[in-house]
Amino acid sequence: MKQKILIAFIISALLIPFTRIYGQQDKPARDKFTLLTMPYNQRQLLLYRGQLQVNAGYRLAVKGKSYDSEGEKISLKAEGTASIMHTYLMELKYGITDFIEIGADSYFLKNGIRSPSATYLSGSNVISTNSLNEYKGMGDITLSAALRLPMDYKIFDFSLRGGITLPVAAYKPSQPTHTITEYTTPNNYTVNYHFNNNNGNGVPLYFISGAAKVSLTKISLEARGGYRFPAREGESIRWSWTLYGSTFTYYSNPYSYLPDRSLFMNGSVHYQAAGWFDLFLTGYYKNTSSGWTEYYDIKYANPETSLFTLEPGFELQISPSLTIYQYAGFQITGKNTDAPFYLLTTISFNMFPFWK
Amino acid sequence: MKKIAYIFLTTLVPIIGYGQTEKVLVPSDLKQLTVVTEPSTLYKGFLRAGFDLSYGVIDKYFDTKGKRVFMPSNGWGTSSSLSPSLQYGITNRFQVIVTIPYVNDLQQGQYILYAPSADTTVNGSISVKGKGIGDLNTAFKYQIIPEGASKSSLTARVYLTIPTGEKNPTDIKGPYNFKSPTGNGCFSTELNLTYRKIIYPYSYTGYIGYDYSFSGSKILDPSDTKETEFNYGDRFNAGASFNLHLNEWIALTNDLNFTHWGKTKIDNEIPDNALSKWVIGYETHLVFQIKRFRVAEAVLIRLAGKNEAPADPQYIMIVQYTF
Repeated sequence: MKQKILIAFIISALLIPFTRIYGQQDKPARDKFTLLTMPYNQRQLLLYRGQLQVNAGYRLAVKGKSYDSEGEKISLKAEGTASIMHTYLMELKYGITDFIEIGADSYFLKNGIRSPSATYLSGSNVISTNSLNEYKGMGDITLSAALRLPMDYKIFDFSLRGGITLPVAAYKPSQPTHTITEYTTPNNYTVNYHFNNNNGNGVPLYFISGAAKVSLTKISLEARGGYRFPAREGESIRWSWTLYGSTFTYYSNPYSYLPDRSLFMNGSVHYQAAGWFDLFLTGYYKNTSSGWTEYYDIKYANPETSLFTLEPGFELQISPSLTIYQYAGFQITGKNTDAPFYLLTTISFNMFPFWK
Repeated sequence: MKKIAYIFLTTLVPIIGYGQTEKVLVPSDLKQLTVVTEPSTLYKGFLRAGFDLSYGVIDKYFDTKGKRVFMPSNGWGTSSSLSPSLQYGITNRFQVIVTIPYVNDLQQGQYILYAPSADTTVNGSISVKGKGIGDLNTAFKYQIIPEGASKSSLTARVYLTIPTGEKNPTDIKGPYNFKSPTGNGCFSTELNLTYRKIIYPYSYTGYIGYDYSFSGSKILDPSDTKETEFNYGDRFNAGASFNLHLNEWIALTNDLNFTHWGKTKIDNEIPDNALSKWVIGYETHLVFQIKRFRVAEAVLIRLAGKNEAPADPQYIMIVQYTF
């Protein structure tokens, strides 16, 4: 009998390694590693409680074409007025709970737009002009808060976000820095007009947006829409100048303006190719309207603009705390607006600073 | 008791013993080494094929005071190339590289001429495009101090550039409307020495190079009727890089480099307005190694420079496969 019990015990012991015991299970493990490596198709729209996300991005945009009021393409390259836009993006987000997130973002932008060069011939006078509009500086800071449905994400998620763009960046154009070059005689020289613009809005802007997400195994669909509008009218300055000899004297004149209201919508299809790799295609539409600018005491409506962009891209998780996003923006159609092709690379750093 | 002993021995069957073993590298593993872990030359018999795609704009330059300024006049310029390349390891220490670029340069613009006294306005356009095969580049790499157990190596690289690209402007329709050359019009050679040390997951390199251009002749201005003799200034470059693995198959390289160009001679004389320029650049590559397939994205950022040195960033994409 003893021997039989011993044999039975040993056989049972041999079987244990090949047996998986399924007991009553609690909620899936909620550890930092699991949350930081959550694939897109299993991830909720907002950050998790205690998650801090720092995003740093660089966008290279080539303004090679624009659309006129009829939606016809204009080649800025052929005109020689194409330009390069460098944008450095910064964003900080924090998940207060699994359903509430706060964030702040801003950017630094550089862009120099040339106008066609001109030469004026009059008697023995030969005066050439070059013109450059430079935009350089920080943008305003946007503060936002977002809420999502108070339930665990499985298939469907929905969130609302609202915020304000604070007019903290310089917005009035700085004094121009025109120069005279190739001066041979008082009647023969080149004037280089150089206008120095800043990137601030000058007035607060409010925004509200909504987002929804549906995940069906490896395929996910996401839609976002939002509306941004100014809090009030603003006042800025325009520079004029006189040229005496080779010295410029500058004068500024005030004018008032109302920034455009903007409507934006996007829809994207995501394919989770691997746990660490998500491919997506986004369609992005933006429309601006209702703004005006004052010229000589008369308010002129800003032209209504629209632009539709297709944006293929990917999300690639390098390590639990580091993720890279890359997008390319192809402009498909639009009206009254520049249509820059762009490449955007963002590095996202994620952590749970207060979770040991 | 015997039965108990048999049963006890039976229990040992499912147990797999893990001892200390040394991983044996097979050729397929060697072909999957990353930019951080691979030796400075290809292994014997390995063939690597791929292409480099490079894109840059002509927007800014460093002036004589070292300030980054915009090109003064109206215009838009881009410079891009697609360069297929073949690399082959003749021995474990000796490698050859052949690259031939397809160049696509573009300059466009408009100008307006006002003559109020004649009641005339003239609109003109600038269209200078250069498309075609560029200069063939061959390189030979040799590990002078081979990479051994110390994981450090010293490699010499000799480049030879053969002027296979068109050297003169063609299809000249006017001073601002022609096809620009896609080649330099002269032979040149460069000697480069690179020291490399691997401390996994990092690697460090330091390098120094000198490029000598032989004299040549070509049409320098589309309005010229005959070719002019020229001799490009010598080029000196030096730099260092720090490279690391972000994970097992993604590497990040960081290269800080200095380049100096000497003055160019025209008709065996250095013109009064000739400048010797220099630039300091930072180049970073994000390299994805998917088995034998390698994709790299890189950006070269010009940090400082002087005397009309280019100041715009350059974007590079590299795709390679090791056979």
